[in-house]
Amino acid sequence: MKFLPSWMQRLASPQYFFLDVKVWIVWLYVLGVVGLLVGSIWGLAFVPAERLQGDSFRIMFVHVPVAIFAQIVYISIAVAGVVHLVWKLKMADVYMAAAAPVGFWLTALALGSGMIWGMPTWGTPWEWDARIVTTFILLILYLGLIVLRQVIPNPARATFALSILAIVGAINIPIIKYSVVWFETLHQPASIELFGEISIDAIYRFPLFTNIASVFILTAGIILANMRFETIVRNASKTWVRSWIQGRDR
Amino acid sequence: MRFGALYRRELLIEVRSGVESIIPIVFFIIVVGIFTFALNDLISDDSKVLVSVIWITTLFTSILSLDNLFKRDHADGTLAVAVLHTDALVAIVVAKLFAHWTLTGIPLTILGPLIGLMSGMQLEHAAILGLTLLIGTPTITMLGALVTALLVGLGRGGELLTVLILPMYIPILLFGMGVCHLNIDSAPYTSELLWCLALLSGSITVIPLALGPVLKLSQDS
Amino acid sequence: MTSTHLTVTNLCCRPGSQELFDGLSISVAVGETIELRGPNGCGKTTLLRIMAGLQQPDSGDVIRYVEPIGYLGHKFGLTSILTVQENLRWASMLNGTKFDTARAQDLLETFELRTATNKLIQELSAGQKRRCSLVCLLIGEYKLWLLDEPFSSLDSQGEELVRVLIQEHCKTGGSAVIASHSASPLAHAAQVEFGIS
Repeated sequence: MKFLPSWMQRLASPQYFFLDVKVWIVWLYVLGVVGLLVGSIWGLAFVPAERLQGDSFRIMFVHVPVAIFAQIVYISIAVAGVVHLVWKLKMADVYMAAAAPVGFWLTALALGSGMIWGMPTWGTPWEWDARIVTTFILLILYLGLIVLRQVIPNPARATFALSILAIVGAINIPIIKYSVVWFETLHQPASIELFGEISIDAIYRFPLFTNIASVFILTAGIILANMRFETIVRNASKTWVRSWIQGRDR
Repeated sequence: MRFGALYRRELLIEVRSGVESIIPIVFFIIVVGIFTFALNDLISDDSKVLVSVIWITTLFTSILSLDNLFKRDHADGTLAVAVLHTDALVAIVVAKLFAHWTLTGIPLTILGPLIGLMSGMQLEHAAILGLTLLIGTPTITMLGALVTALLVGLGRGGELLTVLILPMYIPILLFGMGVCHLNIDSAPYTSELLWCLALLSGSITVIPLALGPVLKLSQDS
Repeated sequence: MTSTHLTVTNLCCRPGSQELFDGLSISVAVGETIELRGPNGCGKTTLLRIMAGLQQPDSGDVIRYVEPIGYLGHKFGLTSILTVQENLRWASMLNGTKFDTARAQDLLETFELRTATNKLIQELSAGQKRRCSLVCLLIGEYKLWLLDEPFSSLDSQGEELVRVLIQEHCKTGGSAVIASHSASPLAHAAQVEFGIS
């Protein structure tokens, strides 16, 4: 861990994390909400209707960003699992605990917005189709991560079990990603590739990218806020928490 | 030499426990039987339906049988003794899983295609079904054992097993079933088959090593 | 040849709100018998499990100089649907030693289990099961014994036998940590008294 800059090393300590990160959360919330408002209003009001789908495509500006981060948050949890197993870093465990519910709700939002989108375009809100089923499985994976922690009373064991489960579950992520390519499915293939053509019109690109960035910022903010909460709960008996509470009361 | 002895011991335990060890197989036959009865028309039209039924029932059977995998050893204290022998632990666990697979995986691998043939499936399709089950059942045993080990000694673990385990089974189910479907459609299935093999080799190399620490930690509750 | 089998330093364990022990340090030397004494719930079992590595302390270090460790807990560690003989075989398999039938027969004779050799464990009485798990411990040829209430469910004759065995074990280069609340303390054993804080 020596290769990291000193302000990052400082964050590995619960106390400094708790104190340092508060300002970030405020900024992330402000930036995320403003960005989301700008992107959504732009997408809803100022962009022409799509040629085939009419106005219903506009839910894309919510659906695509949440679906992307539903998967990315899971990958990040699996990475945190590896970090925890290798370096025994306490913050990695805090991250797993904080991110799992956020990922759960992102996945639920992706499924929900997809259902709303599916009604006018496919004529059905729910189809047992590869992409939908695999995303549903992702929801169950998140549920497993949340429930497992509550079932195992011993924190050390719970963290270890969670790391293992997150890592093994991560084999599902490429399957969700490529389900639209590998299997016959109603769901359209991805229009944005990290390395390659963007098969989406320039007019629609900017509100979409604004929203992707805003969802990222907001997700980061919520996870950090959750982490802050987790650190104070876990360190409740420490003196720095007590003195912080006394400082607040005054 | 030692592995053989450990393996024989595990088999002996399974055999001594009598009917208990056959229940999963009976369950498999009954469920597939009910499905073939209920979906009679569909199955005679399209053997893809039967293949899917057999694959999915295999997953359910494994959940039923895995619940007991470490439960007895944990209850009588032999698991605690085993985890203290770090050198022997991997051999003990692998012997246990191999015995478990011998008594559930192998019968299902034989029964699956046999039921297929009895319901009028073509020989080639049944053979490929058998092949995918041969690759799939050990993978299922490994993944299932890992999740079961995470839940050892937790009272309500049994019910949780279903929620935690089914997502892990999705990849092998999709590829295993996919191979059979493609074969029935006379489409090339090599890449899917290779994916199955990749999942198998990945799980049989990594999971036995991970099980040691997982089981050791399971004593600490 | 090390002169110590196990050291624990500065051990802390506080499950939930109560504190079992704080800053506990014990070192188990070769040939030493340590008897942990104290009322129920004072942390004897927890300490033994931490020493064995079955449980993690909240803080502090445990160093084991010998592996594996012979641990005998409240559960017998015997498979109930296997016979006494088969369980003994497993005990020797764990350490990779060849099963010595003659020695096993001798031990069974000492523990008056000769007639039960081919009986299933589930057919035995609690005292006989305890005897059988002690035979397993001897078959495993462990240097360090961690015994949790080894005298429970044994008759007075069996208890005497175990006392002698522990003494012999420690004379021949072994060591033992024993948790008990037996009325009479072990001879030659260092006593560690536990209290509820």
